[in-house]
This record gives sequence, structure tokens and C-alpha cells, in this order.
Amino acid sequence: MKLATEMGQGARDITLASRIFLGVGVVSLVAAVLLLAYHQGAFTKYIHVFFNAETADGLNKGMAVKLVGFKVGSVENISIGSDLGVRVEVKIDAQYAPMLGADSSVRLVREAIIGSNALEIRPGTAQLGPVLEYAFLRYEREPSVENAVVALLDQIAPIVGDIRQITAYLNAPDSDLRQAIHSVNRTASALEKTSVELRKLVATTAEGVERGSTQVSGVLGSADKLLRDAGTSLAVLDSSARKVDAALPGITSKIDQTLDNLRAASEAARAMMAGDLSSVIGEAGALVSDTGEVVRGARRSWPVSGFVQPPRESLLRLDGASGATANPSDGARGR
Amino acid sequence: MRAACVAALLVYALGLAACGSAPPAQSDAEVRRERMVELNDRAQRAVALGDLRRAAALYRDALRAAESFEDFHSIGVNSLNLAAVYQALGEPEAARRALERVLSAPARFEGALVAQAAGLKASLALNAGDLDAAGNWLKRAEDGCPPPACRIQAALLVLRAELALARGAAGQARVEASRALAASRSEGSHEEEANALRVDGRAASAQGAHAEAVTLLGQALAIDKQLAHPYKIGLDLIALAETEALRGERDAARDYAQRALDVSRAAGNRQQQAMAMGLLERVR
Repeated sequence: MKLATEMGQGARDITLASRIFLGVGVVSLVAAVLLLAYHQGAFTKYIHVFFNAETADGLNKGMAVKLVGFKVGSVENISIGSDLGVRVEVKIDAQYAPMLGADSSVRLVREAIIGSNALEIRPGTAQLGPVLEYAFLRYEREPSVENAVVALLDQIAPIVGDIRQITAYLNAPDSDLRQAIHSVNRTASALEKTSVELRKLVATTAEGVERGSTQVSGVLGSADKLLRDAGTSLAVLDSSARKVDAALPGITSKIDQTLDNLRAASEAARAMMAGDLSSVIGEAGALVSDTGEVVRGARRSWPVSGFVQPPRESLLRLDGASGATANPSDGARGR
Repeated sequence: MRAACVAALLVYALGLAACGSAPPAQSDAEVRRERMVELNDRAQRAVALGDLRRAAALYRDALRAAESFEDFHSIGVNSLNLAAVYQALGEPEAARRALERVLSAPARFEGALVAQAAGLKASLALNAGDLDAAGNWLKRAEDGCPPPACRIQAALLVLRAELALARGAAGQARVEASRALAASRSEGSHEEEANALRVDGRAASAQGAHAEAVTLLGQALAIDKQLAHPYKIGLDLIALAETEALRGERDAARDYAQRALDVSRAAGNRQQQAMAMGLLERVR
């Protein structure tokens, strides 16, 4: 009985715990959904305003509406009217409505050079009061590059037309300018004829002078020839001199370089002979001497001295052909 | 066991002390002897390099050092070496003076040294054309150097062959040369082998066997070139020139004589230069 009672109590506890757990879970889920809805603006209050546009180009449903860079709303709806006008419905967070005047305007802007389009609200003056629900705002597009180019072209076009007219005038055969240039050409031609006549006169005069002084002319001719020859010789001489002059710096620099090298080598050799080499030889000699001392000392020390024969002189082998032979004679070493 | 370990340790310590101890001080005589031996070694290296002038100077210094402490063995050895170098340099008078130190008082020197000195004296006499004296000195050398122990037997046989050839006994010279050749090969002495071949070749040339002579002399020249002995090369070339001249090959004789002159000039042997120049004049 007691066991049944205890089991029934346990089952109730489990049931209670399960219900609590389920309740907490449901509450958490609802809270999450509500939180998400809040973040999505489900509990935000909006006002709806409209504006009319000539075209829907660049406008999209859901596109952001910004106020001084902050998103304050979005495009709710885009529709086309019977007059082919485009009607755009925009919802704006109600809390920003007091900041927007009734004369505010909406402008389609590009967020950056390659960014997306956005609608920007330009607050009007506060004289007309805040914007109201379902109000119509003025819409304007930001001048695009194409429009700028077109405007520029519109400004340039008259200038180009004027230039064209001037050119046509200048090219016209009966224009005043052409007539004036023609007159100048005729004057120049006359001047050329005058020049030819003058040249003839000069030549005639020169001929007369030459006839009157043939010998002088011959002498002058010889002198001229001599001068030409001299000029040629001088040219050759000048050319040779130039070549020599051009080559001399190279030759002298090479000679200088050779002398420098010779001097350096001589100095190096002298230094080596005077200092470095002699010191090296001296050090090597000292080293050999020291090594010899060590070897001699070791050779005299026990137990090495017992194994090493005392130094003995060697005898050259008798040579039957009267020549000295470097090979030592057997038994020549030692006594 | 413990006592053995202690004893071993003591011995080890004593050994270390002995090894680490300073070497015994050298006496002046020992220092001089070492100096003399060092000069002798350097002179021998100079002979091996063909620098006979330097070798002569070093042997003179070594002889002076040996005389300073009157070591007769060293005096004898360096005197013989100096005489041999002078002879190779073509300076017989200097060689004779060097030999006088040994031959004037032979009792002070060992028998082998005296025998070698006598052999050198015989060689000098032979080159000088004093054949009787050469025979006497050669006999003395042979007597002082009995064959089993004598290590200069081949050289003495070569000298014997030379003497026979000088006396005009070409046949006898060839017999002695053959014995010298065998002895040299027995001793393993390439120098004496070439010497024996040269004497044999000259003897064959004297007998008129010029082709055989050229062959023998060519063999001698090949060995001497291998040994790089300028004086011997000069001798071979002179012998070849004489043989070619005898058989009428003047161009070949001139070529050999010129080569002999070049070699003797390079070696600085005046006597051989004179021989080569005389031969060159003869075949020109």
C-alpha cells in the first residue's frame, strides 16, 4: 500500500516536472519568436507616404529608405497609374516622422559609385509641420552621368554649330578672307618677278667685272684651287687629328692603368719582400724550429728514446760511373 | 689482490711521471752531432734534387762540424760524400783533396769507408788516364770489400770493366760488364745496371758491333732518364754520339753530341761540357 502510494507520488512528480519543462520550452519558443518579430519590426509603428515618379527605373519593392544615412523605412509598394505614372508607397518609422517636414522630398540616390540604389529623404522646413500619414512627397532623381553628358552635349552643340558656320565661311570661294588671300598671292608673284629681274641685273654687272679683270680672275681661280686643296688637306688633317685626339685619351688611360697596375704590383711585391713575406718565412722558420725542438725533446725522452736510433749521417753509394748517387750506401748509417 | 692493484697503480704513476718528465739535457757534443747530421741530410736531399753545388757546400759544413769534435766516422762519411759530389761536378782535384782525409790515415777509419775511398780514387785515376794507379786503387778497394758483405761490388766491377776498356781490352771489358750487370741486378741497383750497360755498349762499339752498342746504350739512357741523373744522361749521349760517329752517321752523332752539350750545360758539369763540345767539333 505504501509502495503504491509512493509510486503514485513519484508519477505525479514526474508529470509535474514534465509539464514544467514543456511550459518553459513553449515560453522560450514564444519569447524567441516575439523577439525575432520585434527585431523584424513587427511591433514598430509606421506611417505611409507616397510619391509619384516618371519611371520605375532604379526603384524596387523593399528597397531602403534612408534619412541622413540611417534606414528609417522601406518601399512598400510600386504601382503604375492610369496616366502611366508610377506611384510608390513608402513606409517610414513613426518615430522619425516628427523630424520630417511636410515639404520633405524623396530622392533616388546611388549609395556609392558601384553601390545599390536607395531612397533618401530630404527633410523639409518645419514651417509646414511634420509629415502626415498618406502624404504625398516630392520625388526627384539625382542627376546621372548620362544626364550630365546630355546636358553637356546640349551646351556644346551650339558652339559646334558656330564653328561649322565659320569654317564654311572661310572655305567659301567668294568670302572676303579668300579674296584677301588671293590679293596677297598676286602681290607676292609680282615681287618674285621683280626679284628675277634684279638677279639678272646683278649677273650682268658681275660678268662685266670679270671680263675686265681676266688675269685677276685666273689668279683668284688658282688661289681658290689652292685654298680648296688646302681646305681638303686641312680637312684630312683635322680628321686625323680628331682620330688621334679621340684615341689619345684611351691610350693614355691605358698607359696610366698599366703603370698603376705595375706600380701596385711593384709595391705589393716590395711590401711582401720587405714585410709580409719575411715575417711569414720567419714565423714558418720559427715554427719549424719549435717543432724540431719538440721532436728532438720527445726523441730524447724515455720511452721514445729507447725505440729511436740516434741520428746518423748517410754515405752516398759509390758510383761506377763517377757520379754521386743520392741513394745511401747500405750500412753507411751508424757505426 | 689489493697489493697487486697498488703496485700496478704505482707503476702507472711512475710511467706517467717518466713520460711527463723533461728530457735529459743535451751535451755540446750531442748538439754538434745533431747539427752535423742535419747538414748531411740536407746535402743528401740536394743531391737527390741534382743541386750538386748546394750539396757540396752542405757537405763541407758537415765535414767541418765533424772535424770540430773529431768524429772519424763522420769525417770519413762526409769526406767521401764531398769527393763524390766534386767528382760529379767535374772537379777532380777537389775530389782528391777530400779523399786524402781518409786515404792518408786509413787506420782511423772503418774498412768499408776506406774501400769506398779507394774505389773513388780509382775512378778519379781512371778518368785522368792514370790506368796503373786506377788498377792499384781498384785492387785496394776490392781487397777491402770482400764479396758477401761488400755492397759496392757492382760499382767496383763497373770500374774494372772501365779499366779494361781503357786498356783496350774490349772483350775483357764486356766480360766484366756482364758481371757488373749481374751484380747490379742482384743488388737491385738501377744506377749500376745503367753503368754496366753503358760500359758494355762502349765495349761493343769498340769491337765494331755498333748496332748492338746503340741498343745497349739506348737501354742505359732509358734507365738514366728514368732516374733523372743528368751526369749519366750526358755520358750515355756522348757514348751514343761516339758510336754513331764511328759507324759514319754524322747527323745522328751531331744530334747526340748537341744533346749531351745541352744536358751538361744544364747540369753545370764543365768536364762533360768540354767532352761534348770536342765531340761536336769532330763530327761537324
